[in-house]
Amino acid sequence: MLFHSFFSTLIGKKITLHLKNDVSIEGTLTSIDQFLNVKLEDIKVHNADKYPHLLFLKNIFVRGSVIRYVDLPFEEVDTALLQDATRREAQLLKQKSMGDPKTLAV
Amino acid sequence: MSGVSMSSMITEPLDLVKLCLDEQAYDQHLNMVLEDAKETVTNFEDDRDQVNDGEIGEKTVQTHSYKLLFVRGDSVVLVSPPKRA
Repeated sequence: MLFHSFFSTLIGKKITLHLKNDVSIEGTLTSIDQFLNVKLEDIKVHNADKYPHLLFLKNIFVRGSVIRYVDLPFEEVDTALLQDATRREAQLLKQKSMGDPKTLAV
Repeated sequence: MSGVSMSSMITEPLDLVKLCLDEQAYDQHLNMVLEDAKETVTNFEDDRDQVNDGEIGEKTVQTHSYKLLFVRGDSVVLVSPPKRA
């Protein structure tokens, strides 16, 4: 859930997806779901000579599981906030795994 | 930090990941966001069919740098702490 919320804050920003089949796609993020499936618009394929079937597409949906990396715009991300959220999420997970009755009800 | 309190802090595998990725973001799937990431891809050309008698072929190394990179957890194999200077 942490990264879903994180990517939600990046909607409208330009990102580059590096897929597991070595295709790299740059585009504007329009939508993201809990599986980290993404929708991009105004896409540009970096190695289009190798993958010409993507040349004519403008808007795409990419299944989250085929993504290897996402290159993020450094200026648009508050890394301190992200670290904070990570700590909170890790804490919560730990409490859950230890069977803390306070968190089990949630 | 003393050794005793350190070992009591580490009770599950994810605690080790936490130590490695302090100052970075990660979750239980090992999805992570890395700052100043460097990717190194090493390729060996496979020419075992030829006369080389099973010698591995020519080595090519490619590196890429990323200022900020999200890595999807399902392709993560191993997480190790950064080398100390």
